Amino acid sequence: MDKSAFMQACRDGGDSIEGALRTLDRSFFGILYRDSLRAVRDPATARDLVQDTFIKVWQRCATFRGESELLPWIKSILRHGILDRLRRPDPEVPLENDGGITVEAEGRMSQLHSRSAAQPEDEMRQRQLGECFGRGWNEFARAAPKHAAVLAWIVEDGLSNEEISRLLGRTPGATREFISQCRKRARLHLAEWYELACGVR
Amino acid sequence: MFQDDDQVWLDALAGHRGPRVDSAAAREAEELRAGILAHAAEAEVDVPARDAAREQQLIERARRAGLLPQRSAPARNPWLAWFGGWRAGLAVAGLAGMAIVIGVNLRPKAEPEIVRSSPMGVVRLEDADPLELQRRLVDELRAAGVEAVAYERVGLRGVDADLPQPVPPRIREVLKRHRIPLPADGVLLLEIAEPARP
Repeated sequence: MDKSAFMQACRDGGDSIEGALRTLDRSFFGILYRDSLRAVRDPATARDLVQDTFIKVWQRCATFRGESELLPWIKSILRHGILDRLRRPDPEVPLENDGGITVEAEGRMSQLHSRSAAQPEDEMRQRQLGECFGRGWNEFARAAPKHAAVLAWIVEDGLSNEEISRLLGRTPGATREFISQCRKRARLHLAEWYELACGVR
Repeated sequence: MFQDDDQVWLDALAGHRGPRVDSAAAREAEELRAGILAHAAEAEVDVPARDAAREQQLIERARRAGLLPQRSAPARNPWLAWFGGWRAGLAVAGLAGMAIVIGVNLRPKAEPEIVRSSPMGVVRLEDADPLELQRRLVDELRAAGVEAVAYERVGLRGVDADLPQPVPPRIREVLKRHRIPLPADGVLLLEIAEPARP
């Protein structure tokens, strides 16, 4: 669906909304569902979040001015919904003190720049790396779903500090703290993969 | 605390090539970026572009949300017809009034907030009325010249603010009044919750 058709349907309202909702679903459900599923890891919840997003899109259609493309605007509504779903008032755990990031691990991280990453020499090694990453990432996404989701979005869409700040609805300072936490948590849960990927034993 | 190193890491993770592309932080982020992209490609699921049942579910949902007109109005129950209109409004208003009276009487008396802990720089406050305390803190910080941001996440209220350095006396006074420790890095992160019930 292109943005001019969307804006026209929004202006027309009434019956044109039903047709436009169906077009939205056919155009964007797949891409939004995958995004949602990666973050919430439950098919029913992912589907619910996408449909909820389509409803919100129509409730807010008058605020879409057409400066950006339609999909990024819809994605940002979905991601706010995902973050709201993932947010829980869990206490933050200080990572430096829980035994996860040791001095040794820090040292190994610092070696990354001086060694070229070990290139997988064959398919088996590549598969091992992929499986190891998958295990670590799944653990990360279970333990800190909000942090894992935001990291995936940074990679996918090249988000800047300001964009992350808007997405989180936090100040620049709080956003910097959040990003710092993301890095520490990724290191903690993917420690085994970092070792394998960088050939550090 | 966020360091320049974290910014290099973030830029590289986002695929932006900065001046320090050869640093350990950039290398670490590039490895992670490659891992995330590969994992996302592996975890790709097939989703049909058209799914009649899915579309119907969406349309029904839009009807429930009031975006689309209801398909057909159900036959009206005569009692409901009598009860509708101003009588229903009157009844709802009466119930709401009773709820307010009961709520006000049962509400615990206002007590000063308690500063519980500050793990990772997040100061947790406890107060019988988190919303009121959140408003008060934002008003007081703004009056002291700080752009404080209030937020609410799944029932947990909070306030973020980036404090100017050095922290001016007016702001120090606000923090002292609420027994909030001065953040070392100037980033004030507050979470406000109701006291845990025994």
